[in-house]
Amino acid sequence: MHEAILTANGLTKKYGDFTAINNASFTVNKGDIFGLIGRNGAGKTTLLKMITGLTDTTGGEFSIFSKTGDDLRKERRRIGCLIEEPAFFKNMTVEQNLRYYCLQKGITNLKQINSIIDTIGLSEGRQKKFRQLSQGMKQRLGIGFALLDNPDLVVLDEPVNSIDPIAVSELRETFFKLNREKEVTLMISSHMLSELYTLANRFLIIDQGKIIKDLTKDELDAECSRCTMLQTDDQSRTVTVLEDILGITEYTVTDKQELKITQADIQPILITKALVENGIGVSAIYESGVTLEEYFRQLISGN
Amino acid sequence: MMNMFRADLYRMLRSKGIYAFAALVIFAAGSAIAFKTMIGLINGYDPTFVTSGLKTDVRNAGMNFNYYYMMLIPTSVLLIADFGEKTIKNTLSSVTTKTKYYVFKWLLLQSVGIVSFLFGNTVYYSFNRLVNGDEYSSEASEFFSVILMQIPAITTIVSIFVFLSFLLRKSAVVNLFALVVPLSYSSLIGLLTLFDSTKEFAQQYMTRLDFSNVFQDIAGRVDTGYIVKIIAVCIILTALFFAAGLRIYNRSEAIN
Repeated sequence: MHEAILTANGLTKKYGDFTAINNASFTVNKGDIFGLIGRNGAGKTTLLKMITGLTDTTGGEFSIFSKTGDDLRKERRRIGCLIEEPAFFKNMTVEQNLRYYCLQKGITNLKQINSIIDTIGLSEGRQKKFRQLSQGMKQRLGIGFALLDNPDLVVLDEPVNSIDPIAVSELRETFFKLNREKEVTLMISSHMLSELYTLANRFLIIDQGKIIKDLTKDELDAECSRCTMLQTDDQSRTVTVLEDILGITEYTVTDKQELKITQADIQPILITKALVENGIGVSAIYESGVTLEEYFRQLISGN
Repeated sequence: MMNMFRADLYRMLRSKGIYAFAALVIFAAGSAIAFKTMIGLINGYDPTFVTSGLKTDVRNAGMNFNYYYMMLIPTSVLLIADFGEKTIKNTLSSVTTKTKYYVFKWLLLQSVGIVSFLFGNTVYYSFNRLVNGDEYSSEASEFFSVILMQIPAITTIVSIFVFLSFLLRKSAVVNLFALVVPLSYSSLIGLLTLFDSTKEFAQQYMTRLDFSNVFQDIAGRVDTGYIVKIIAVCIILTALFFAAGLRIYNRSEAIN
């Protein structure tokens, strides 16, 4: 049984007549890397703002660490977050900004500033003023702020925006490390499904303020599985060629008597060549299934 | 709240604005000492300000409306910057609530306002006595009783600025509003004094409602009963603007 860190029940946010979030219910479990996916304007940031106390809810309720209302306010110290673009004092350096928030949070161990600066890869820019930082460096400082005081839950809104690919890869490792070694639960929003796919183990897909899918990585993999479909004039000999010559063992036979090969890194041209060389007639070979992006697009268009 | 105070103190000491504010306070005091006269910005001369019998230092205390303009600097540095640079979201998401944030900023700016007001006037009084001697200096008790009676006016100014900051949230708009309103009011008084039918009303009533005259009236000790009324009105206004700002902020989005 997983321990629920965050439970939302019927969360709704309205701005006048516009409904930004409509009756959202979901649970984030301890240890999850929870991906929140949606197009720009889908409601991801509004949802994260509600959770982090930056905007009031119009309806519904949520609990974090099993606490609600006034009790929850005390628990907010256990949450680190970066919502929208990183915001710091322009005329203060990286180090001074982090020190300011350490003081504000009552963190007495100021040594953690150094380790956070190292973690986010800003060692060389630590004495640079915030206004002198590149967009990517600002984003990294925002992530550093979210990591102050060893939070149990880290909420990051589009954290890898404007960050170069190498730094994205380093940050991904940092997130994994936090999750695995310190059991930090991460809630990360992005409009880039492919980026979130490499990180998250749970996915909440949101569109026009509504949750349209809540699924685990295994379920997402099943929905998006790629395979190679094969039709020949001799199925039993085809199986022999696949297994003995090509070493392919992951396949099934469909109702239409087609072979569905699910093994990764299959090259259709090699299969065709081997079958033809063994005198087997190939009537059809094609790739089937949907990519992550196609799956996402299908969900959105169906909403 | 003590942690937030420590953090803002840390930031304050790294802000050029606060040093500009301190320089202005010292410059105003230094100028008044050097020229042995009262120096400051007021919105039109108050005809009821009786200076006879007052020494230069107390007359100069009547010009303490200077602090109205000077207090815009710490308000901008310590409060409006949080909205302008959007750092308020960092504080509200992990440190405190909207209500506590509002109360803290109000208390912080009141503290800065009162401390700087006392500091500026103490510097002025001490150096004026040292440089210009008894001829231009009152007894400390007389001078500081005026200063202490003016503190409710300072708290009112700060309360108005905190209210405006949470309402308008942009430094340029708050500054514009804070500068234009008193200037427009004194311009209106000036305009009304041009006509016989409105001259008396403008001079007798509107002038007394001009905030800059509060400082002069207290320094000039117009009338004890009147001063008590001024102080009472200041305390009520301080509380009203505090409550109005809190209500507006609690009913609006925490961040833009």
